Amino acid sequence: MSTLYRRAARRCRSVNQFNALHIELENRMTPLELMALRGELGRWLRLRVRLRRVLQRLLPLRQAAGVDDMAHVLREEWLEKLSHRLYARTPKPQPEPYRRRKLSRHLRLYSAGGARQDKTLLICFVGASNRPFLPTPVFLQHLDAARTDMLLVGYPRGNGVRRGLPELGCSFEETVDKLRGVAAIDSYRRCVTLGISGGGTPALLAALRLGLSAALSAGGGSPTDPRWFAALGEHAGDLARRYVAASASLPQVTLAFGADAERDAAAARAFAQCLPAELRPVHDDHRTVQHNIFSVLLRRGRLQSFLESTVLEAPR
Amino acid sequence: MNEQQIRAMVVEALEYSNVIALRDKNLTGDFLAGLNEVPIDALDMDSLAEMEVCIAIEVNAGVSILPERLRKIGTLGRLVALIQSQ
Repeated sequence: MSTLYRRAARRCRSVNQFNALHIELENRMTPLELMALRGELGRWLRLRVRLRRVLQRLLPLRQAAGVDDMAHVLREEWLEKLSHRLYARTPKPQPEPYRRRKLSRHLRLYSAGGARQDKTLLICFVGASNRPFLPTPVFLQHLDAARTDMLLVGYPRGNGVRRGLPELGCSFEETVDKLRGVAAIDSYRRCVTLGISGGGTPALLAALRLGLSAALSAGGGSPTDPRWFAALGEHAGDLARRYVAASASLPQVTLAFGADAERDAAAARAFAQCLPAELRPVHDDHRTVQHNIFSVLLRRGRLQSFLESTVLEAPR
Repeated sequence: MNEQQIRAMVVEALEYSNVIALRDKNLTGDFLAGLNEVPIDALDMDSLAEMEVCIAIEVNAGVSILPERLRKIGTLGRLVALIQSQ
């Protein structure tokens, strides 16, 4: 990881290029990779500082290049901030031992191995930011790697999964049906979905279509979003109603939203007209809660218990 | 890039960064036509979105604006003028 990082960082020439690299890494890394990167880069940076001191003694006129200094500062700041967020609000002393495996172009499985029949598979449909509201390693640190695997469903920016994922199918339904085999859903003790922002609608629809145990939509979209109508030929809410009518048993559905996010609250209330669901506004006594409810729950140390009570340990 | 092209590029950068306030408040048309001054604070951007907007602007226009400077610019019109002046 650190070799890859150094190779990519060498091509960065501006703060924005470094930010782009760091965002990409935050979207993908595991907690272990983050800590390894921090440790290895720490050693590497200390070595560089020592080397530079020696060189400066030998060649007094030699000055550190501007880009080099900027890179050093940005890297340090980023790793410190991310590592702090990893541990700040969770009482775990060690990083959760997730390993990352690419199942296909847009599917990444985070698992620590072990018998699937004892575990829950959390299928995470992300929004446009391609992360579960938080940097992926920070989010994973709030799961239990011994009990939960996470399948992260990404997609090309701007397209969503409304028209399917190219490697799985040319429609949403075909893609969701293929997920059952690709992610070996039936080999798990239970399987649940989590939808973040624009990923909320596919998470609800997938849980209904696949007959899963539970679904959580966090700041999800409206059941009458015209983009879904354009892709499906019907509103997502109407499709949800059809799935509900055809289902023998329904998932436990939670529609969570920031208490101050009016648009998200309206979308959740509208979706609750289409399927049996619990509305879950997220409050904070000290500040307003907008779209990103996980960052508020993280700050308050409530993220893990929130996930457990809504999807991970929900009955059924 | 002329002003019209920069305005279109800024709209694209906002969409790329999932900043939908412009679209949501039906301000895109007026902004593209240069009719409306949009405060950057009104776009409801979080820090990630600010970074992504700056990345998109740098990639598409070759102008480097730091995320922490973005809000200080004040309005999208001033952002367009800044990009045009570079």
